[in-house]
Amino acid sequence: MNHLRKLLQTLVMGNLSVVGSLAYASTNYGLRGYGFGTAGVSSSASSTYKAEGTLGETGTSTTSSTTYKVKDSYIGTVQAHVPIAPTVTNPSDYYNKLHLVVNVSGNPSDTTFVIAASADNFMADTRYVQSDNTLGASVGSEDRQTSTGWGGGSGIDVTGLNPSTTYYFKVSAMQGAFTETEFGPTASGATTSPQLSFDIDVAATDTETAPPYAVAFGSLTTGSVTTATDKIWLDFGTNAQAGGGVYVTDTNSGLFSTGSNHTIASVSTDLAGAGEGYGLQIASVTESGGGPFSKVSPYNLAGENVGLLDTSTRQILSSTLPIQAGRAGVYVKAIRQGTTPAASDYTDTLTFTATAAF
Amino acid sequence: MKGYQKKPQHIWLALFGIVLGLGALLKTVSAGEFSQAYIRLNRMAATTANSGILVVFTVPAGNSATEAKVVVEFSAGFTVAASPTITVTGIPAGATALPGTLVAAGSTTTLTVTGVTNLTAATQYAFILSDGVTNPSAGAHTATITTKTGADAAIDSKIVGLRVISDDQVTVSATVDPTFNWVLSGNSMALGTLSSSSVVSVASPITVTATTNGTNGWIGWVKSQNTGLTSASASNTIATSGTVDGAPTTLSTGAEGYVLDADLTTDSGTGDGTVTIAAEYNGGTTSAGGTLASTLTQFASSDGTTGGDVITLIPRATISTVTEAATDYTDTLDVIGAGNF
Repeated sequence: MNHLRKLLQTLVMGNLSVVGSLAYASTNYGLRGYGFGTAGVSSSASSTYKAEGTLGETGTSTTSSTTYKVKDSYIGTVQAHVPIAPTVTNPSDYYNKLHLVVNVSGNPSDTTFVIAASADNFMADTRYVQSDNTLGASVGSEDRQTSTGWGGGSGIDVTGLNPSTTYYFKVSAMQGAFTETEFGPTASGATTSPQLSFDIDVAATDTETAPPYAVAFGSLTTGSVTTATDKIWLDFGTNAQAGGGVYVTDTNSGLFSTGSNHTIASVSTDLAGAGEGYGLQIASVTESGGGPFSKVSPYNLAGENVGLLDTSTRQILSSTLPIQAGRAGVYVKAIRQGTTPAASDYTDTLTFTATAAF
Repeated sequence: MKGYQKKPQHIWLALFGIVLGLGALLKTVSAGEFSQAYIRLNRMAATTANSGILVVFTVPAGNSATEAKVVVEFSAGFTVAASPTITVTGIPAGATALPGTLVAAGSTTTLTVTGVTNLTAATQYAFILSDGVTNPSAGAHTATITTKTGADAAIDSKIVGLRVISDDQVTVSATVDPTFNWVLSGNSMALGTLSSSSVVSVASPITVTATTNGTNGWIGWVKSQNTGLTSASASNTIATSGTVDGAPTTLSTGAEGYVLDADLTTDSGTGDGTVTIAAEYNGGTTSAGGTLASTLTQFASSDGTTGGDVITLIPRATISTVTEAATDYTDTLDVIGAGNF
């Protein structure tokens, strides 16, 4: 009877917006009295009874009407330690997630935590981190997890967030029956916008240059592969969760001369064994973080092997993960044969594009 | 006591019911997010019109709504024409063509594709805008892709990052220098002993090989120093026969005569040129050939590049029964070639 009364008191005087767990009660045992610091071990538990205490109580307002009054956030006779603000960070320009570490705040390992989230500091928007680390409108039993469940000291990535948005988080704790705390202080973090950076340079060495971009072979040599002195340098970076890539589309499918009406056709081949040909070879790839920035076949070979250039949009570089400061150096190679018509106006236009998969 | 026992039970059930009801109210459904999405501009240069923007998105697992349209909202600065052209031809391998009778309409920065039929969860869809979208100024930009119901309710969406730069093209240039080669296989040909009863041809004629990357091929000319076989000791010349008239001359046995026949030995398969033997020197028989002149006269040509055309030059001669005897009948032929660029 007394246990049932205690249950009723807790439900009536507690926070109705949070569904608590079922009450623990016994019809055979009752704790008639207890003391702190006087006897027993620090856990203060046995197989027949246990005592729980509270560190204090946060001050909140009350909700009332003419017919009822509810003391919001009334702290019952026992409660877990109110968790301090979680640690919220954006370590890698995330646009759709934030990293969060729940602070155990001295609670035992079996303490469960609920994480509330809001995009407006809980003015009108209140959601909860679900067990799958996304946000949801309510808390299910599976969404109350121990510190271990929430990633322990490593934390979790809260996913499915909107870009360019500041999110606020706060945590409540519960350890055993009727011990759920109010939410503790908030911490915030901001997602960035989805980002894609791309730039072109043309130079003999790794140097920043301004447009217009031009690579000049000069005179091609019969039977010998000519590598243009200047390389094409491509900068690529993105915070897209699936990375992205760099593509090339060619205008003439080769070096075309209007004067001779002849095209030194582009091919994917070892130019050293070809009479006539033209193409690209990725010379180098680097990145300062993430990635890696990778060469795509058939632009990834060595020697005098080149990849095809034509009017199709062909991927030459890729990263399957977010990448910072990716940079690639690209060779342009060609060879002519004795019968390649003489002309001084062989030309081609390469159009580069970059895409990121968010 | 019983009354007290009942009252708390009623309160418990009522409160439990209230809690359940609140829980049900809190479980609302919101628009989802594509598992992945990207937009590939076909031009990244500022203020440049695109001619093939690829839009790709993956419908999330668990999607159960009925799609009717796809909306792409570009960030400020992009311009979308009123009636862009949409196609599903050329989408990447592995992507599913956006289904339906697709109609694209544009307004300022917004593209709306209607006529879309219901999409399948966990499926990647794609379509291409063949025209109608012009880039803004250089910088970081975004676009939001959203699927919607027929009632314009958002189903799934994703914002993607785009980039516009000052120049997205590299111009490549090259020169191929002109080349021409003209090689004679020898510098002397012996007719041997001439006869009044037969036409004698050089037994071991020389060849001339022409190689060039001239787009208009090459031209070969011949000039005779003596316009005949001249003997200094006999003070006699077996004169060349006929005239340069565009047709070969046939020598007659028993009458003095001297001609040059040019035969096409190799019309090189390397290059695009075709050799033509000048009609004058295209003898056709072992008794015929062209008249030799004291000026350069064209004997052969090609109309394109060649890796090595070969022409055989065959002098022929006859004598009469009263042709002065001598061992020093001779002539010098200048065989000249030029690449035609």
